[in-house]
Amino acid sequence: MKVAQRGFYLFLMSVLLSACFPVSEKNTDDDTTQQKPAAQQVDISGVIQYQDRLYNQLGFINNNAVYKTLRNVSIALAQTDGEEIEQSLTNAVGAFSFSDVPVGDYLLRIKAQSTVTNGTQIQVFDTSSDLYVIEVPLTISEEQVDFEIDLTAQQRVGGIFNMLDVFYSAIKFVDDVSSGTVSVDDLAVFWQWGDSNGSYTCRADNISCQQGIYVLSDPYFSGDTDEYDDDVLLHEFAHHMESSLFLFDSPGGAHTLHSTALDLRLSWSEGMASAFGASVKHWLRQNDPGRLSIPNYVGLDLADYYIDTRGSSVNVAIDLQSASASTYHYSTNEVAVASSMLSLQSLTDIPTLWRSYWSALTVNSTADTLESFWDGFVGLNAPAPSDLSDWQSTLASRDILYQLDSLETNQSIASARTIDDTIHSLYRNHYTTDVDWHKVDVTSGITYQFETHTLRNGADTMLELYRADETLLASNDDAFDCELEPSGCSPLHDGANFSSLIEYTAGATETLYLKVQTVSAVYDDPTSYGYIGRYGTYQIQVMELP
Amino acid sequence: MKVQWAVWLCFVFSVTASAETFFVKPTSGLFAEISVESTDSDIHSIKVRVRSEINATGSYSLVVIQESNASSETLFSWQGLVTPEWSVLFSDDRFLSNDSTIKATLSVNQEGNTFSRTVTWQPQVSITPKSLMTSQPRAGEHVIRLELP
Repeated sequence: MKVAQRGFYLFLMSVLLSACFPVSEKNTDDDTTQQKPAAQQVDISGVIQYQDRLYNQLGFINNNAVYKTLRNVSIALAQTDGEEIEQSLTNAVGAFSFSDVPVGDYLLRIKAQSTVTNGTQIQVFDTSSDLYVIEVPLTISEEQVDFEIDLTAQQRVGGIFNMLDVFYSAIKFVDDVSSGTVSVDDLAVFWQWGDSNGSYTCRADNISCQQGIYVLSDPYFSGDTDEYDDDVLLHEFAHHMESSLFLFDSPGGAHTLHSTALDLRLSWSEGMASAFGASVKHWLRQNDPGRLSIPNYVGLDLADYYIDTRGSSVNVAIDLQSASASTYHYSTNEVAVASSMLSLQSLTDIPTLWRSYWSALTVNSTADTLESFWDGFVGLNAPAPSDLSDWQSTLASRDILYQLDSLETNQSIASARTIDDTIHSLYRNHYTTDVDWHKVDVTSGITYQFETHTLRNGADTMLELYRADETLLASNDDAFDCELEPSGCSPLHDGANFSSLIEYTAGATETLYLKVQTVSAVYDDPTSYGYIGRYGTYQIQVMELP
Repeated sequence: MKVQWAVWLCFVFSVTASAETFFVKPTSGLFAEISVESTDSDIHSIKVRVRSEINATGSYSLVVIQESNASSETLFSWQGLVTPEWSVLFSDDRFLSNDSTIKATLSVNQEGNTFSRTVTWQPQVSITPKSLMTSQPRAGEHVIRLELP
């Protein structure tokens, strides 16, 4: 090695070594002190809050300036050029402090990033995945050391921190109700003023978007923005929770509140998500009512509502628990699912409902639907017969029959019942499907049509015709294969799809027997056939053909 | 100290008029009244009403669009029967761009004759950019710098 090179490396090593040890700041200060007086140092403190918007079933309630503190939000004190001097967090009530700050001009950098007490992090990004940072100039002097900073709705930054706050409450809810046993993934939120792509949750396996929650902001065309729609935010958070916990079987796709023919996995996911929002609001009312954005009216519990505002009115305002049972019924309707869950919550309590959710669906071997939730809910809580009856009745009020039908027991030829217009349930007990036997007297030479119809709650029947000696005469799964129809199986569970039909010319005058059960495909492949209900309902009829 | 901040955004402007009204009158006796009230810097509460001053019969159609350089958006489109009373058709919040033009076309069909008129109106807004403070671009950050009003 040449001498010059060696000298260079010795110099480089000395530089690197000097970087490993703290440089005496005192010397530097002393040097500065000799040139000019030291800047006065003060301790500063303050509180940061954002402006929330209250709403009710008619939309936003104007002229109500409600401020809420920023909980555990990342902040930094920075030079006026943006260089950060010290980083910190607001505390649980939005307060912050910095010590020994030389008087002068600074920027307080407020980052749209919050760390919940259980360690889960929430961040709000723009659609370019840049984290929102609000910079507020502070002039710190001996007289001015205490600051109250309001982030307003009109500034279009209040909404960023409302999203942060709502998701913070949701994570606290999960942590508190599960006693710390359940936690969701860190959450990325994407929102940008004027980004009109809608509110939705993007799963990790979707390559067209980044994992997280996208929040609608469409002020210029539809007038619909969601950054202050707590119910929409909580609904999407529930989808994030499903994804985090691998409890997400929904195929997604279009859905409306009125549809009673949805894929069971879709109606479950959407209904559960809406019920989750209502549960969080009930929990907040009990534990932290100041975080709610709904008033507490006498005789009208807005915690049960799902409200999606648009401009000065609403897109949707529906009382999930009390919505019309004649419109919102069957387990294939998302409102009926939400209503059923909230009714079960009313009959038990919030922990009973959600601990069942977190526990039951992780061990089931079928698709995640209201049925699998019910199996776990009953199995885990082992209700007394009277409680079970109450639970079943509240579901039956929405035509979800997780109970024996009125003609049970008819599980064998010996106990077969005469065909009538009874609505039959294929539910035996939780975890177990039912088999129904029906009987009919036939006359030799006459052709009969035996048919299941009005299939609801995701039913897919298999119909078999037997003689009294259990000789199989005919069988049919589907009267027609809807996948071959021009419109496909859409609407999926419209009552006609998956029905069964047998035509049979009687060779003798005798009593024949019809066996009805759920097709076995659902057990063979719950992922592909998860839309088929195990506990569906049907009716059966017989006609003489000319 | 309580600090009220104003945000810097490139499209911030203020509205000088709190409420304005313009009319469309295609023929005698029939009016459409469109009133616009600013509720925010660029949020306008728009109310549309139609009125017949006389006991005329017939039908009308009303189309209100917002045009700007970039786009044309139909705000309202209505058809109905002429009645002697004021009929409130619409009341909702809309965002009106400061460079937009509102065009309202009211057509009325009375006894087979159609009368139509279009009125153009511009929101009375004045653009008052806030004094801007340049944000330092930072990798991975969307910085919004607030300032004292």
